[in-house]
Amino acid sequence: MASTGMKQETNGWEPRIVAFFCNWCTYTAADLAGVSRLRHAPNARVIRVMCSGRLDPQFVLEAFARGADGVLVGGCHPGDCHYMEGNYKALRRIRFLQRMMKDMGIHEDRFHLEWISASEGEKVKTTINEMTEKVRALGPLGLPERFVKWDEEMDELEHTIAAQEEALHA
Amino acid sequence: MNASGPTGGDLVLRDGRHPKTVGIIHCVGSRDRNTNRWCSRTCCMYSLKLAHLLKEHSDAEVYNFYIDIRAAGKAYEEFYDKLLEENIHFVRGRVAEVTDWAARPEEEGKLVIRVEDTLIGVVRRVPVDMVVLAVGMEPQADSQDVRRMFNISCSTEGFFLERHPKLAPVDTFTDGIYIAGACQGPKDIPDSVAQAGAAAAQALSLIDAGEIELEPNTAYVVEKDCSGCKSCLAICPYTAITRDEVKQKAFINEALCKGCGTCVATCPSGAIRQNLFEDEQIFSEIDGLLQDRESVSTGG
Ligand SMILES: Cc1cc2nc3c(=O)[nH]c(=O)nc-3n(C[C@H](O)[C@H](O)[C@H](O)COP(=O)(O)OP(=O)(O)OC[C@H]3O[C@@H](n4cnc5c(N)ncnc54)[C@H](O)[C@@H]3O)c2cc1C
Ligand code: FES
Repeated sequence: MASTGMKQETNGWEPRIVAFFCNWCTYTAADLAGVSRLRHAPNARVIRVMCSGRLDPQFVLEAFARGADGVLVGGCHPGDCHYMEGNYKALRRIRFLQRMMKDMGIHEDRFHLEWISASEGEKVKTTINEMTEKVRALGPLGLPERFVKWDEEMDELEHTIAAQEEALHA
Repeated sequence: MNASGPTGGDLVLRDGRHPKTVGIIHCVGSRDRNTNRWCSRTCCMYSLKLAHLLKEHSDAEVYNFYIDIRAAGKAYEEFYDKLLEENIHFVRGRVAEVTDWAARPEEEGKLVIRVEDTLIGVVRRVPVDMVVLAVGMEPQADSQDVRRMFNISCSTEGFFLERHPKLAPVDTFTDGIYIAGACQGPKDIPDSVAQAGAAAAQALSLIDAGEIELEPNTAYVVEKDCSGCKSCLAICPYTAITRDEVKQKAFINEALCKGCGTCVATCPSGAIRQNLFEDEQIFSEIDGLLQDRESVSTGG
Protein backbone atom coordinates (compact mmCIF):
# COMPACT_ATOMS: atom_id res chain seq x y z
CA MET A 1 0.00 0.00 0.00
CA ALA A 2 2.57 2.56 1.10
CA SER A 3 5.00 3.49 -1.64
CA THR A 4 8.16 1.43 -1.66
CA GLY A 5 10.19 4.47 -2.62
CA MET A 6 9.26 6.03 0.68
CA LYS A 7 10.22 2.92 2.56
CA GLN A 8 13.69 2.89 1.16
CA GLU A 9 14.15 6.57 1.89
CA THR A 10 13.12 6.14 5.49
CA ASN A 11 14.99 2.91 5.97
CA GLY A 12 11.97 0.64 6.43
CA TRP A 13 10.33 2.96 8.92
CA GLU A 14 6.59 3.35 8.68
CA PRO A 15 4.57 5.84 10.70
CA ARG A 16 2.62 4.26 13.52
CA ILE A 17 -0.57 6.08 14.35
CA VAL A 18 -2.80 5.24 17.29
CA ALA A 19 -6.41 6.17 16.55
CA PHE A 20 -9.13 6.59 19.18
CA PHE A 21 -12.51 6.26 17.50
CA CYS A 22 -15.90 6.88 19.03
CA ASN A 23 -18.11 3.79 18.93
CA TRP A 24 -21.10 5.53 17.38
CA CYS A 25 -19.61 7.53 14.56
CA THR A 26 -16.04 7.15 13.52
CA TYR A 27 -15.68 3.53 14.55
CA THR A 28 -18.83 2.69 12.61
CA ALA A 29 -17.53 4.75 9.69
CA ALA A 30 -14.26 2.80 9.78
CA ASP A 31 -16.33 -0.36 9.69
CA LEU A 32 -18.19 1.03 6.70
CA ALA A 33 -14.92 1.87 5.00
CA GLY A 34 -13.96 -1.77 5.44
CA VAL A 35 -17.26 -3.13 4.21
CA SER A 36 -17.08 -0.76 1.22
CA ARG A 37 -13.59 -2.12 0.53
CA LEU A 38 -11.97 1.27 0.66
CA ARG A 39 -8.22 0.97 0.86
CA HIS A 40 -6.41 3.21 3.26
CA ALA A 41 -2.95 3.32 4.75
CA PRO A 42 -2.47 0.47 7.25
CA ASN A 43 -0.57 2.78 9.58
CA ALA A 44 -3.45 3.74 11.84
CA ARG A 45 -4.47 1.22 14.47
CA VAL A 46 -7.82 1.78 16.09
CA ILE A 47 -8.81 1.73 19.74
CA ARG A 48 -12.54 1.90 20.32
CA VAL A 49 -13.97 4.15 23.01
CA MET A 50 -17.68 4.65 23.58
CA CYS A 51 -17.43 8.42 23.11
CA SER A 52 -14.66 10.82 22.25
CA GLY A 53 -15.38 12.26 25.71
CA ARG A 54 -13.79 9.12 27.19
CA LEU A 55 -10.46 10.22 25.78
CA ASP A 56 -8.25 10.75 28.78
CA PRO A 57 -5.32 13.04 27.91
CA GLN A 58 -3.15 10.35 29.45
CA PHE A 59 -4.10 7.98 26.64
CA VAL A 60 -2.59 10.38 24.13
CA LEU A 61 0.54 11.06 26.13
CA GLU A 62 0.95 7.37 26.84
CA ALA A 63 0.62 6.50 23.16
CA PHE A 64 3.38 8.94 22.27
CA ALA A 65 5.52 7.79 25.18
CA ARG A 66 5.21 4.20 24.05
CA GLY A 67 6.30 4.95 20.54
CA ALA A 68 3.39 6.27 18.48
CA ASP A 69 4.37 8.73 15.75
CA GLY A 70 0.91 10.21 15.64
CA VAL A 71 -2.40 10.11 17.48
CA LEU A 72 -5.72 10.50 15.70
CA VAL A 73 -9.03 11.09 17.46
CA GLY A 74 -12.34 10.59 15.69
CA GLY A 75 -15.66 11.65 17.15
CA CYS A 76 -19.18 12.59 16.17
CA HIS A 77 -19.85 15.91 14.47
CA PRO A 78 -20.75 18.77 16.80
CA GLY A 79 -24.37 18.33 17.83
CA ASP A 80 -24.36 14.64 16.89
CA CYS A 81 -22.65 13.08 19.90
CA HIS A 82 -24.53 9.98 20.97
CA TYR A 83 -24.16 11.21 24.54
CA MET A 84 -25.22 14.75 23.70
CA GLU A 85 -22.02 16.67 24.31
CA GLY A 86 -19.14 14.34 25.08
CA ASN A 87 -17.45 15.54 21.91
CA TYR A 88 -17.52 19.14 23.13
CA LYS A 89 -15.81 18.01 26.32
CA ALA A 90 -13.30 16.15 24.18
CA LEU A 91 -12.77 19.19 21.99
CA ARG A 92 -11.88 21.41 24.93
CA ARG A 93 -9.54 18.81 26.35
CA ILE A 94 -7.90 18.17 23.00
CA ARG A 95 -7.38 21.83 22.15
CA PHE A 96 -5.68 22.27 25.50
CA LEU A 97 -3.60 19.16 24.98
CA GLN A 98 -2.61 20.28 21.49
CA ARG A 99 -1.16 23.47 22.91
CA MET A 100 0.70 21.53 25.57
CA MET A 101 2.15 19.14 23.02
CA LYS A 102 3.40 21.99 20.91
CA ASP A 103 5.20 23.35 23.96
CA MET A 104 6.71 19.92 24.50
CA GLY A 105 8.10 20.01 20.98
CA ILE A 106 5.69 17.53 19.43
CA HIS A 107 4.58 18.83 16.04
CA GLU A 108 0.89 19.66 15.79
CA ASP A 109 0.44 17.40 12.76
CA ARG A 110 1.12 14.44 15.00
CA PHE A 111 -2.06 14.91 16.99
CA HIS A 112 -5.21 15.32 14.98
CA LEU A 113 -8.92 15.52 15.75
CA GLU A 114 -11.54 14.83 13.09
CA TRP A 115 -15.33 14.68 13.27
CA ILE A 116 -16.48 11.71 11.18
CA SER A 117 -20.07 10.54 11.13
CA ALA A 118 -21.12 6.91 10.80
CA SER A 119 -21.88 7.36 7.11
CA GLU A 120 -18.53 8.92 6.19
CA GLY A 121 -16.46 5.86 5.37
CA GLU A 122 -14.69 7.81 2.65
CA LYS A 123 -13.63 10.45 5.17
CA VAL A 124 -12.01 7.79 7.36
CA LYS A 125 -9.93 6.80 4.39
CA THR A 126 -8.83 10.32 3.44
CA THR A 127 -8.20 11.34 7.05
CA ILE A 128 -5.99 8.33 7.72
CA ASN A 129 -4.18 8.68 4.41
CA GLU A 130 -3.54 12.39 4.82
CA MET A 131 -2.41 12.03 8.39
CA THR A 132 -0.11 9.13 7.49
CA GLU A 133 1.56 11.23 4.81
CA LYS A 134 1.97 14.22 7.13
CA VAL A 135 3.50 12.08 9.85
CA ARG A 136 5.69 10.33 7.29
CA ALA A 137 6.99 13.72 6.22
CA LEU A 138 7.82 14.57 9.84
CA GLY A 139 9.70 11.30 10.33
CA PRO A 140 9.79 9.09 13.42
CA LEU A 141 9.08 10.66 16.80
CA GLY A 142 10.75 7.80 18.64
CA LEU A 143 10.06 8.93 22.19
CA PRO A 144 11.01 5.54 23.74
CA GLU A 145 14.45 5.74 22.10
CA ARG A 146 14.78 9.34 23.20
CA PHE A 147 13.83 8.36 26.73
CA VAL A 148 16.59 5.77 26.73
CA LYS A 149 19.02 8.36 25.42
CA TRP A 150 17.88 10.93 27.94
CA ASP A 151 18.26 8.34 30.71
CA GLU A 152 21.78 7.62 29.55
CA GLU A 153 22.58 11.32 29.45
CA MET A 154 21.17 11.74 32.94
CA ASP A 155 23.22 8.80 34.18
CA GLU A 156 26.30 10.25 32.58
CA LEU A 157 25.61 13.63 34.12
CA GLU A 158 25.13 12.03 37.52
CA HIS A 159 28.42 10.18 37.19
CA THR A 160 30.24 13.31 36.17
CA ILE A 161 28.84 15.25 39.09
CA ALA A 162 29.61 12.42 41.49
CA ALA A 163 33.16 12.23 40.15
CA GLN A 164 33.57 15.98 40.49
CA GLU A 165 32.30 15.92 44.07
CA GLU A 166 34.60 13.06 44.90
CA ALA A 167 37.51 14.98 43.47
CA LEU A 168 36.47 18.01 45.49
CA HIS A 169 36.37 16.08 48.76
CA ALA A 170 39.52 14.12 48.08
CA MET B 1 -65.87 21.85 3.40
CA ASN B 2 -66.41 20.56 6.91
CA ALA B 3 -70.15 20.26 7.53
CA SER B 4 -69.63 21.17 11.17
CA GLY B 5 -67.31 24.08 10.33
CA PRO B 6 -68.12 27.81 10.43
CA THR B 7 -69.70 27.85 6.95
CA GLY B 8 -71.63 24.64 7.48
CA GLY B 9 -69.79 22.97 4.62
CA ASP B 10 -70.42 25.78 2.19
CA LEU B 11 -67.57 26.99 -0.02
CA VAL B 12 -67.46 30.77 0.37
CA LEU B 13 -64.93 33.55 -0.06
CA ARG B 14 -64.25 36.12 2.63
CA ASP B 15 -66.78 38.47 1.02
CA GLY B 16 -69.48 35.79 0.94
CA ARG B 17 -69.27 35.02 -2.78
CA HIS B 18 -69.01 31.47 -4.04
CA PRO B 19 -65.72 30.95 -5.92
CA LYS B 20 -66.09 29.76 -9.49
CA THR B 21 -62.48 28.69 -9.79
CA VAL B 22 -60.13 27.35 -7.12
CA GLY B 23 -56.39 26.81 -7.53
CA ILE B 24 -54.59 24.39 -5.20
CA ILE B 25 -50.84 24.91 -5.14
CA HIS B 26 -48.83 21.89 -4.03
CA CYS B 27 -45.41 21.71 -2.39
CA VAL B 28 -45.40 25.26 -0.99
CA GLY B 29 -42.13 25.52 0.91
CA SER B 30 -41.32 21.85 0.36
CA ARG B 31 -38.78 20.23 -1.96
CA ASP B 32 -36.97 23.52 -2.33
CA ARG B 33 -33.33 24.25 -1.67
CA ASN B 34 -34.25 27.71 -0.47
CA THR B 35 -36.75 26.57 2.15
CA ASN B 36 -37.29 22.96 3.15
CA ARG B 37 -35.55 20.35 1.11
CA TRP B 38 -37.82 17.52 2.20
CA CYS B 39 -41.09 16.31 0.74
CA SER B 40 -43.88 16.88 3.24
CA ARG B 41 -45.49 13.64 2.13
CA THR B 42 -49.06 14.45 3.08
CA CYS B 43 -49.78 17.47 0.85
CA CYS B 44 -50.33 15.57 -2.41
CA MET B 45 -52.99 13.38 -0.90
CA TYR B 46 -54.79 15.99 1.15
CA SER B 47 -54.75 18.34 -1.85
CA LEU B 48 -56.31 15.62 -3.96
CA LYS B 49 -58.83 14.98 -1.25
CA LEU B 50 -59.66 18.67 -1.13
CA ALA B 51 -60.03 18.83 -4.91
CA HIS B 52 -62.39 15.86 -4.78
CA LEU B 53 -64.48 17.45 -2.02
CA LEU B 54 -64.61 20.77 -3.88
CA LYS B 55 -65.95 18.96 -6.93
CA GLU B 56 -68.43 17.10 -4.80
CA HIS B 57 -69.76 20.06 -2.83
CA SER B 58 -69.59 22.91 -5.33
CA ASP B 59 -69.55 23.49 -9.04
CA ALA B 60 -66.22 25.32 -9.01
CA GLU B 61 -63.51 24.55 -11.55
CA VAL B 62 -60.54 23.10 -9.66
CA TYR B 63 -56.90 23.41 -10.68
CA ASN B 64 -54.05 21.47 -9.07
CA PHE B 65 -50.56 22.85 -9.60
CA TYR B 66 -48.05 20.16 -8.74
CA ILE B 67 -44.38 19.27 -9.18
CA ASP B 68 -44.95 15.51 -8.98
CA ILE B 69 -47.93 13.66 -7.63
CA ARG B 70 -46.63 11.40 -4.90
CA ALA B 71 -49.39 8.94 -4.26
CA ALA B 72 -47.43 6.23 -2.51
CA GLY B 73 -49.70 4.42 -0.12
CA LYS B 74 -52.37 1.81 -0.10
CA ALA B 75 -55.11 2.78 -2.59
CA TYR B 76 -53.62 6.27 -3.02
CA GLU B 77 -52.70 5.90 -6.68
CA GLU B 78 -56.18 4.55 -7.36
CA PHE B 79 -57.64 7.64 -5.72
CA TYR B 80 -55.49 9.86 -7.95
CA ASP B 81 -56.64 7.88 -10.99
CA LYS B 82 -60.24 8.43 -10.01
CA LEU B 83 -59.69 12.19 -9.74
CA LEU B 84 -58.23 12.34 -13.21
CA GLU B 85 -61.66 11.32 -14.42
CA GLU B 86 -63.49 13.88 -12.30
CA ASN B 87 -62.81 16.83 -14.57
CA ILE B 88 -60.20 18.30 -12.28
CA HIS B 89 -57.41 20.21 -13.99
CA PHE B 90 -53.87 19.11 -13.30
CA VAL B 91 -51.07 21.48 -14.25
CA ARG B 92 -47.57 20.11 -13.83
CA GLY B 93 -45.21 22.92 -12.90
CA ARG B 94 -43.87 24.92 -10.03
CA VAL B 95 -45.91 28.08 -9.51
CA ALA B 96 -43.79 31.18 -9.98
CA GLU B 97 -46.18 33.79 -8.67
CA VAL B 98 -49.69 34.55 -7.50
CA THR B 99 -50.69 38.13 -8.31
CA ASP B 100 -53.77 40.33 -8.36
CA TRP B 101 -52.33 42.39 -11.19
CA ALA B 102 -54.57 41.85 -14.22
CA ALA B 103 -52.91 41.66 -17.62
CA ARG B 104 -56.14 40.90 -19.45
CA PRO B 105 -59.79 41.93 -18.91
CA GLU B 106 -60.83 38.42 -17.80
CA GLU B 107 -58.21 38.57 -15.03
CA GLU B 108 -59.84 41.63 -13.47
CA GLY B 109 -60.67 41.07 -9.79
CA LYS B 110 -59.06 37.64 -9.78
CA LEU B 111 -55.92 36.09 -8.40
CA VAL B 112 -53.68 35.12 -11.27
CA ILE B 113 -51.46 32.05 -10.91
CA ARG B 114 -48.40 32.25 -13.13
CA VAL B 115 -46.85 28.89 -13.85
CA GLU B 116 -44.87 27.07 -16.46
CA ASP B 117 -46.92 24.10 -17.59
CA THR B 118 -44.04 21.70 -18.14
CA LEU B 119 -46.18 19.13 -19.92
CA ILE B 120 -47.02 21.43 -22.80
CA GLY B 121 -44.01 23.70 -22.39
CA VAL B 122 -45.73 27.06 -22.11
CA VAL B 123 -45.99 29.69 -19.41
CA ARG B 124 -49.61 30.05 -18.35
CA ARG B 125 -51.61 32.62 -16.43
CA VAL B 126 -54.56 31.01 -14.69
CA PRO B 127 -57.07 33.42 -13.11
CA VAL B 128 -58.89 31.99 -10.06
CA ASP B 129 -61.18 33.23 -7.30
CA MET B 130 -59.55 31.28 -4.51
CA VAL B 131 -56.05 29.95 -3.89
CA VAL B 132 -55.29 27.13 -1.48
CA LEU B 133 -51.66 26.63 -0.48
CA ALA B 134 -50.52 23.15 0.49
CA VAL B 135 -47.93 24.38 2.96
CA GLY B 136 -45.15 21.95 3.83
CA MET B 137 -44.68 20.37 7.22
CA GLU B 138 -42.02 21.76 9.51
CA PRO B 139 -40.80 20.75 12.93
CA GLN B 140 -42.55 22.50 15.81
CA ALA B 141 -40.86 25.83 16.59
CA ASP B 142 -39.96 24.66 20.10
CA SER B 143 -38.69 21.22 19.05
CA GLN B 144 -35.18 22.04 20.30
CA ASP B 145 -36.53 22.83 23.78
CA VAL B 146 -38.53 19.63 23.86
CA ARG B 147 -35.55 17.69 22.56
CA ARG B 148 -33.42 19.00 25.38
CA MET B 149 -36.08 18.33 27.97
CA PHE B 150 -36.22 14.66 27.02
CA ASN B 151 -32.54 14.29 26.24
CA ILE B 152 -33.16 13.10 22.70
CA SER B 153 -31.65 14.12 19.37
CA CYS B 154 -32.94 15.95 16.32
CA SER B 155 -31.96 15.40 12.72
CA THR B 156 -30.54 18.44 10.94
CA GLU B 157 -34.02 19.56 9.88
CA GLY B 158 -35.24 19.57 13.47
CA PHE B 159 -37.41 16.46 13.49
CA PHE B 160 -36.80 14.08 16.39
CA LEU B 161 -34.28 11.42 15.55
CA GLU B 162 -35.13 7.75 15.82
CA ARG B 163 -32.55 5.31 17.12
CA HIS B 164 -32.41 3.45 13.81
CA PRO B 165 -34.39 4.28 10.66
CA LYS B 166 -35.28 0.65 9.99
CA LEU B 167 -34.66 -1.39 13.10
CA ALA B 168 -35.71 1.01 15.86
CA PRO B 169 -38.01 3.56 14.23
CA VAL B 170 -39.88 4.66 17.37
CA ASP B 171 -37.00 4.40 19.84
CA THR B 172 -34.77 7.32 20.66
CA PHE B 173 -31.22 7.32 21.97
CA THR B 174 -32.65 7.81 25.43
CA ASP B 175 -34.12 4.65 26.90
CA GLY B 176 -37.78 4.85 27.73
CA ILE B 177 -38.50 7.79 25.42
CA TYR B 178 -40.36 6.89 22.24
CA ILE B 179 -41.46 9.02 19.30
CA ALA B 180 -44.42 8.70 16.97
CA GLY B 181 -46.10 10.84 14.36
CA ALA B 182 -45.14 14.05 12.62
CA CYS B 183 -42.59 15.05 15.27
CA GLN B 184 -40.32 12.37 13.78
CA GLY B 185 -40.86 13.49 10.19
CA PRO B 186 -43.74 14.37 7.87
CA LYS B 187 -46.29 11.60 7.72
CA ASP B 188 -50.01 11.07 7.32
CA ILE B 189 -52.56 9.77 9.80
CA PRO B 190 -52.25 6.02 8.99
CA ASP B 191 -48.47 6.16 9.43
CA SER B 192 -48.80 8.24 12.61
CA VAL B 193 -51.26 5.79 14.08
CA ALA B 194 -49.09 2.81 13.19
CA GLN B 195 -46.07 4.45 14.78
CA ALA B 196 -48.05 5.46 17.84
CA GLY B 197 -49.17 1.87 18.30
CA ALA B 198 -45.58 0.68 18.06
CA ALA B 199 -44.39 3.31 20.53
CA ALA B 200 -47.12 2.41 23.00
CA ALA B 201 -46.27 -1.28 22.70
CA GLN B 202 -42.58 -0.51 23.28
CA ALA B 203 -43.39 1.49 26.38
CA LEU B 204 -45.69 -1.24 27.68
CA SER B 205 -43.10 -3.94 27.14
CA LEU B 206 -40.67 -1.92 29.25
CA ILE B 207 -43.26 -1.58 32.01
CA ASP B 208 -44.37 -5.18 31.72
CA ALA B 209 -40.86 -6.59 32.02
CA GLY B 210 -40.69 -5.17 35.54
CA GLU B 211 -36.94 -4.86 35.29
CA ILE B 212 -34.51 -3.00 33.07
CA GLU B 213 -31.54 -4.44 31.26
CA LEU B 214 -28.53 -2.19 31.43
CA GLU B 215 -25.53 -1.90 29.18
CA PRO B 216 -22.56 -3.29 31.09
CA ASN B 217 -20.19 -0.42 30.25
CA THR B 218 -21.29 1.88 33.06
CA ALA B 219 -19.00 4.06 35.14
CA TYR B 220 -18.46 3.64 38.87
CA VAL B 221 -16.76 5.57 41.65
CA VAL B 222 -13.88 4.18 43.67
CA GLU B 223 -14.89 5.88 46.89
CA LYS B 224 -11.55 5.82 48.65
CA ASP B 225 -10.01 7.86 45.81
CA CYS B 226 -12.87 10.34 45.41
CA SER B 227 -12.13 13.75 46.88
CA GLY B 228 -15.71 14.92 46.42
CA CYS B 229 -14.65 17.79 44.16
CA LYS B 230 -17.85 17.70 42.07
CA SER B 231 -16.02 18.06 38.73
CA CYS B 232 -17.95 15.12 37.38
CA LEU B 233 -21.40 16.36 38.36
CA ALA B 234 -21.77 19.02 35.69
CA ILE B 235 -20.17 16.88 33.01
CA CYS B 236 -22.76 14.09 32.99
CA PRO B 237 -25.43 14.67 30.33
CA TYR B 238 -27.75 12.17 32.06
CA THR B 239 -27.53 13.63 35.57
CA ALA B 240 -26.50 10.15 36.65
CA ILE B 241 -23.94 11.50 39.10
CA THR B 242 -24.88 12.95 42.45
CA ARG B 243 -22.85 13.77 45.51
CA ASP B 244 -23.51 11.84 48.67
CA GLU B 245 -23.45 14.72 51.12
CA VAL B 246 -22.91 12.48 54.13
CA LYS B 247 -19.94 10.61 52.66
CA GLN B 248 -18.86 13.65 50.63
CA LYS B 249 -18.28 11.40 47.65
CA ALA B 250 -19.66 11.19 44.15
CA PHE B 251 -22.21 8.49 43.43
CA ILE B 252 -23.16 7.16 39.99
CA ASN B 253 -26.65 5.84 39.43
CA GLU B 254 -26.03 2.84 37.19
CA ALA B 255 -29.59 2.89 35.91
CA LEU B 256 -29.07 6.35 34.45
CA CYS B 257 -25.47 6.00 33.28
CA LYS B 258 -25.18 5.39 29.54
CA GLY B 259 -21.48 4.60 29.64
CA CYS B 260 -19.94 7.38 27.60
CA GLY B 261 -16.98 7.59 29.94
CA THR B 262 -16.67 11.35 29.87
CA CYS B 263 -16.64 11.55 33.67
CA VAL B 264 -13.92 8.90 33.78
CA ALA B 265 -11.67 11.07 31.66
CA THR B 266 -12.63 14.14 33.67
CA CYS B 267 -12.05 12.95 37.24
CA PRO B 268 -8.86 14.64 38.43
CA SER B 269 -8.32 11.95 41.08
CA GLY B 270 -8.79 9.01 38.73
CA ALA B 271 -11.53 7.86 41.08
CA ILE B 272 -14.08 7.11 38.39
CA ARG B 273 -13.65 3.99 36.32
CA GLN B 274 -15.61 2.46 33.50
CA ASN B 275 -16.57 -1.18 33.14
CA LEU B 276 -15.20 -2.69 29.91
CA PHE B 277 -13.20 0.48 29.25
CA GLU B 278 -10.87 0.58 32.25
CA ASP B 279 -7.77 2.75 31.89
CA GLU B 280 -5.62 -0.37 32.25
CA GLN B 281 -7.43 -2.02 29.36
CA ILE B 282 -6.87 0.95 27.10
CA PHE B 283 -3.24 1.29 28.14
CA SER B 284 -2.68 -2.38 27.28
CA GLU B 285 -4.37 -1.80 23.95
CA ILE B 286 -1.98 1.08 23.27
CA ASP B 287 0.89 -1.13 24.33
CA GLY B 288 -0.33 -3.95 22.12
CA LEU B 289 -0.63 -1.72 19.10
CA LEU B 290 2.88 -0.40 19.52
CA GLN B 291 4.56 -3.71 20.41
CA ASP B 292 5.80 -4.53 16.94
CA ARG B 293 6.83 -0.98 16.21
CA GLU B 294 9.97 -2.11 14.43
CA SER B 295 8.24 -4.43 11.97
CA VAL B 296 5.37 -2.25 10.85
CA SER B 297 6.69 -1.76 7.32
CA THR B 298 5.01 -4.89 6.00
CA GLY B 299 1.46 -3.51 6.06
CA GLY B 300 -0.68 -3.08 2.98
C1 LIG C 1 -53.75 20.70 5.93
C2 LIG C 1 -53.47 19.29 6.30
C3 LIG C 1 -54.37 18.30 5.93
C4 LIG C 1 -54.12 16.97 6.24
N1 LIG C 1 -54.98 16.02 5.83
C5 LIG C 1 -54.73 14.74 6.08
C6 LIG C 1 -55.60 13.72 5.62
O1 LIG C 1 -56.61 13.99 5.02
N2 LIG C 1 -55.28 12.43 5.88
C7 LIG C 1 -54.14 12.10 6.56
O2 LIG C 1 -53.89 10.91 6.75
N3 LIG C 1 -53.31 13.04 7.02
C8 LIG C 1 -53.56 14.35 6.79
N4 LIG C 1 -52.69 15.30 7.24
C9 LIG C 1 -51.55 14.89 8.04
C10 LIG C 1 -51.95 14.76 9.51
O3 LIG C 1 -52.36 16.02 9.97
C11 LIG C 1 -50.77 14.29 10.35
O4 LIG C 1 -50.35 13.07 9.89
C12 LIG C 1 -51.13 14.11 11.80
O5 LIG C 1 -51.72 15.25 12.33
C13 LIG C 1 -49.93 13.78 12.63
O6 LIG C 1 -50.34 13.52 13.94
P1 LIG C 1 -49.43 13.79 15.19
O7 LIG C 1 -50.21 13.36 16.35
O8 LIG C 1 -48.11 13.19 14.97
O9 LIG C 1 -49.16 15.37 15.23
P2 LIG C 1 -50.21 16.57 15.48
O10 LIG C 1 -51.55 16.17 14.99
O11 LIG C 1 -49.56 17.75 14.90
O12 LIG C 1 -50.24 16.65 17.05
C14 LIG C 1 -49.18 17.18 17.81
C15 LIG C 1 -49.77 17.76 19.07
O13 LIG C 1 -48.73 18.09 19.97
C16 LIG C 1 -48.98 19.36 20.51
N5 LIG C 1 -47.70 19.93 20.93
C17 LIG C 1 -46.69 20.39 20.16
N6 LIG C 1 -45.68 20.85 20.91
C18 LIG C 1 -46.04 20.67 22.19
C19 LIG C 1 -45.41 20.95 23.45
N7 LIG C 1 -44.19 21.51 23.52
N8 LIG C 1 -46.07 20.62 24.57
C20 LIG C 1 -47.30 20.05 24.53
N9 LIG C 1 -47.94 19.77 23.38
C21 LIG C 1 -47.31 20.07 22.23
C22 LIG C 1 -49.63 20.13 19.40
O14 LIG C 1 -50.37 21.21 19.89
C23 LIG C 1 -50.53 19.05 18.78
O15 LIG C 1 -51.76 18.97 19.44
C24 LIG C 1 -52.93 16.63 6.93
C25 LIG C 1 -52.05 17.63 7.32
C26 LIG C 1 -52.29 18.94 7.01
C27 LIG C 1 -51.29 19.98 7.41
S1 FES D 1 -20.56 9.50 21.05
FE1 FES D 1 -19.30 10.06 19.39
S2 FES D 1 -18.24 11.71 20.24
FE2 FES D 1 -19.63 11.26 21.83
